[in-house]
Amino acid sequence: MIKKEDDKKNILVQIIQVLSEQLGAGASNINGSSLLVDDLGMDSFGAVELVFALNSKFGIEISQDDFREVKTVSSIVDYIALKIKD
Amino acid sequence: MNKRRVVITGVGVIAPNGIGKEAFWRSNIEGRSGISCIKSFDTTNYEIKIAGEIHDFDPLKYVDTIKAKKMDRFTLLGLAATSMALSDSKINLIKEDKSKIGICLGSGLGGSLFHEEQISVIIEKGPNKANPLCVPRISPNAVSGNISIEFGLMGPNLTISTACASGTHAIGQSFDMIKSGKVDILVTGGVEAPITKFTFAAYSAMHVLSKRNDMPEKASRPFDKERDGFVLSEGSGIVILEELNHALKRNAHIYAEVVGYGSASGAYHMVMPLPTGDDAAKSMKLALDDAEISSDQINYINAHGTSTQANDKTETKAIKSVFGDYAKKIPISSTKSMVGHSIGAAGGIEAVVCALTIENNIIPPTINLENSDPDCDLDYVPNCARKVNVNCVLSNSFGFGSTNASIIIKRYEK
Repeated sequence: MIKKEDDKKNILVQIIQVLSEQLGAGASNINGSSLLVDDLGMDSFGAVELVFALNSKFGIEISQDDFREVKTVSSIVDYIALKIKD
Repeated sequence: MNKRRVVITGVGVIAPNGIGKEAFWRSNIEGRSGISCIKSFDTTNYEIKIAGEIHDFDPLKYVDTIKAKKMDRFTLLGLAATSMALSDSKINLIKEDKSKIGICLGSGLGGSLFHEEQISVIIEKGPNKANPLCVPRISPNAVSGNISIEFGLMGPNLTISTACASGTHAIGQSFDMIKSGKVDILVTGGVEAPITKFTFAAYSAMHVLSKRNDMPEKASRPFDKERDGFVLSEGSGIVILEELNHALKRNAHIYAEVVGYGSASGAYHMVMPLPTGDDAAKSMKLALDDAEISSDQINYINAHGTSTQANDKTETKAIKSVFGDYAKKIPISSTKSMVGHSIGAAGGIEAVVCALTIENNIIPPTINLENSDPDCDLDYVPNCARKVNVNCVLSNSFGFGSTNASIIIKRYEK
């Protein structure tokens, strides 16, 4: 569980870890501007798996509907930072 | 059109008494048990504390970490044994028409380990905490699906679930599918990973398991008068079945030929075998008819031989009714005396034993056969392997749900 004072950089590192565990892509190839679908090959079931993994990792409740708008890794960071603030 | 013949061109096995065909076969002919105290969960409150548990299986030798994390143990066991069998068959998957290669595996229970982990999560934390991989990890066909994906096999993709007979039914159905021309090659056999808290409690509640916790290696004792139930075990046995001409064209090593398959139901009881053994006998007779051979051509029977009072007595009765006076002359042995009962995997593991018996002309023993039972009075190859010419083998599997399957495997001749 991440604490509120954790900054976005820390969140990014953890998201990259979740993504590389899920997708098998080397963590070094994933960065903030990576596009989930076009760069990382994420399909709709992959998005379901990602939301589940993020909820477990950060102890938050992201809804699958909200997540549809998320296109890049950095937009996940923003979204989670906002959720944690709440 | 000539009749299509079906041969075994590869084997792969992971069992409590050996991983890989060499180690497994050595244990079988040396009469080594794979039964031990359960390590994977705390058995303090369990009446049964022993199983055929595989302690040194490393799935990462066969599949990468990311994929392995998404699979239940039963899928990992099946995938690993398939990888061994395909490599043993030397089939070049890059060259082959993969639309003519399929999978048909037996599993009685599917992904039971992940299933019960997830039930705990949902009960403790609520329904919205279910892992999205529940269905693809738990479904019985997770194993055939993952094998199809891993090796790119695009023929039939099936899982057969007939409890303790699943593996033999899968092989029999595969034999029929290749014979009929639907497919050229099938990865077949069985897999099971039942050493989990719920599954153990469930089998224990039926009072079908051996209670010999203090001497695990002596617990599985098919046909012995003092037998007190079976020992649950895990594993996978895979055979590659291939249409004969396809195998000959690529100079494949042929272990043996599958020549007959029979299947019959007792329509009697979900757990108890039909006391007359007529359904088991019918299954054997149908396999003999299918093979177009007479009963006196069989020179080894790999019995279902579970080590329960009911099965071993009834199976003996059924063998006598099929083979008459000749029954006393046929060597019969139970692989389960060493491996335990691996439910859906049993028929697959036992088919590997049959292929290796024909190849090596050695019959593995029934171990722990120390006290003779008047109801089990045939030649069960007690305690020591036997070197004898074996050309034609019958293998039986009988499952809860009144279901029976028998296959006949024969030395390949041109």
